[in-house]
Amino acid sequence: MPIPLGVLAVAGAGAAGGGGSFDLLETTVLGTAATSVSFTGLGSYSAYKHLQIRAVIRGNSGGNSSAGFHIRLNSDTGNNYAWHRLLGNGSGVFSDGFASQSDSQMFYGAASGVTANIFGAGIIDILDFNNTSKNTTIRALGGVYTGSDNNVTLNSGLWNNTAAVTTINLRFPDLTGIAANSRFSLYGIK
Amino acid sequence: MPTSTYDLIASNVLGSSAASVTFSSISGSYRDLVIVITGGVTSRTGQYMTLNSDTTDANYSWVRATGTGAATQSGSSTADRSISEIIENAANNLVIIQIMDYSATNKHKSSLIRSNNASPNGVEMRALRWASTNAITSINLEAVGTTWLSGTSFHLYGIVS
Repeated sequence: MPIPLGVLAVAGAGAAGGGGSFDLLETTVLGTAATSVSFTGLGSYSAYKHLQIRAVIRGNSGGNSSAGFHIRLNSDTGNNYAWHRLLGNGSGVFSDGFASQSDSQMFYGAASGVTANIFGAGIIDILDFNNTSKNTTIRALGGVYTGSDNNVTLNSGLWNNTAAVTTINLRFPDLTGIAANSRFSLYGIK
Repeated sequence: MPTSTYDLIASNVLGSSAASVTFSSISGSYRDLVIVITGGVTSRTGQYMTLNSDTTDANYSWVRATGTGAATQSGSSTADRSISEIIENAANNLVIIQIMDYSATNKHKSSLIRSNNASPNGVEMRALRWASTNAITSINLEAVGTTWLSGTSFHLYGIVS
């Protein structure tokens, strides 16, 4: 019988009472390909301080080997995002950054040109998502080994807006969609 | 309805040095697994993660980025079970292995690995793929040609979805 250790998962955080401190909120496993995946109505999770998304992803069509996977908050398509990336691809370590973007890259997923069972994986943390006195910051660790295009990344993202995050949209901007069996789980951290 | 998760499945704190540690009979009750290792090895000769007793190196591939404090490095392999380049022969190492969708039978298994060595080797991130659609039921963590130090701890957590 597993021993619940949710409190230890966020040691030092103030407990908000009831249940653990690392809770599953929602999961989407695509039965068929989709253009994007969204989590909505996040205002109902105001008991939580931070959100975490754990994803295993693959592109549906377009692209050869791997493709960038991006996040957009509250359906804001304006150029209100900035992001930085630390990337290792087997040949070298690179860093770059982008300001005034319409979304924020998080990590890479497998594209449709590689073996069917290959997916990329990533973990996104959205910090203080419900706080209206701070712009929203995001970090992500992800990676994919396709054989022809391999990388591991650590990204940071900024949404230059103090609104509480109520909607998250995830997509491959350079591909036509997300493949079936891709998985997205949303967790709340107190 | 939120579901509390991040459950401790098993732990092993070594009372004496050991060549390897195995978590076996892992159920499919969770979506992801997290392994936290703190401690070190007797000598720096590499560490393997072997899934389901599959010792065929060609089934494991990875890419890494490493920072040593003085330089950055990246490497990759198409046939290697290594989890880190920086775990040192001292006790000041931390490794966190995230094994995603470990029980899915329609995916190769992706792991994200972060390792730290406070002195002297720095930090590393790694993405590792096990080219198998089998559900993971056992995990062996081996100090290749050497031993994990006494006191090294291994904790296995499960996350539902």
